[in-house]
Amino acid sequence: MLVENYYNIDGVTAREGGAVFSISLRPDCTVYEGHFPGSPVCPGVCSMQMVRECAEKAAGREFRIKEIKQCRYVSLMSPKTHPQVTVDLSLEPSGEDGLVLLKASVMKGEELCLSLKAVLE
Amino acid sequence: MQTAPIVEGEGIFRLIPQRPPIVMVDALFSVSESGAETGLFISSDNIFVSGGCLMEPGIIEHVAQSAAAFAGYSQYLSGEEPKLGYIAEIKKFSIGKLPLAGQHLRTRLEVLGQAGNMSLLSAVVSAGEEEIAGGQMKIFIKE
Repeated sequence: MLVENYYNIDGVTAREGGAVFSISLRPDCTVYEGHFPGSPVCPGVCSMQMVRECAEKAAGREFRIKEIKQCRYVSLMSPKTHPQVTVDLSLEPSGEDGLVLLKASVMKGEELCLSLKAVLE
Repeated sequence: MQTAPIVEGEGIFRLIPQRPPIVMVDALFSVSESGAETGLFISSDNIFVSGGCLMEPGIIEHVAQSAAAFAGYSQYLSGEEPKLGYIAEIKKFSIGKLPLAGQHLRTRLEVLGQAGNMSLLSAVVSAGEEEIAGGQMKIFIKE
């Protein structure tokens, strides 16, 4: 885990072409000392990194992010107000040599927090 | 060409709301209405450094905080505190190479459009003389 103590994985369900992760965001992660003082909000890039790490777990290999085609942050995430989130991701070959297309969404309950489309290598 | 920054080091705290351990911009070199130039020294204990490289989320957070410093500079000039800002969208952002700890990042930001509290920016990030990443970002500033 790049950002120490950012989250715990509570469960993983494999599905065709991907996986669904149940996750607890950890309020004790030191990143919240600075983002922001007195107002803990998940840094968007840390949540993206969490999705990338889930993709690496699902695929059993490491990836480098080559291109973020689109990453939309629809609603804010915070370990204080809503620590339970799910990461739903799929991985498919992206046509070019060895590249992989990652599509993922992060939800808190029924609400979409983040949707990501990225090319990995 | 090396120019002295307008704002550097902890002076940047007057421009951005982020604080350690997640401060990802440490210099503002130039500002105009249409953009800015920023920098970051990548220290080996940076929260996004792993195996001696600054990982992708670190490059993107550097761009987001560069946008925060750009917005924060005009707020600072009018005597306001830096406002909280969030990434709304990252688009067509390519990362060709991971920069190394010990290198300096230098980023050119250009404002492509603005509507209400939302800004669309493009960024080109260089490490040393080499362009390593670039793309578009939408930032939402909370009033």
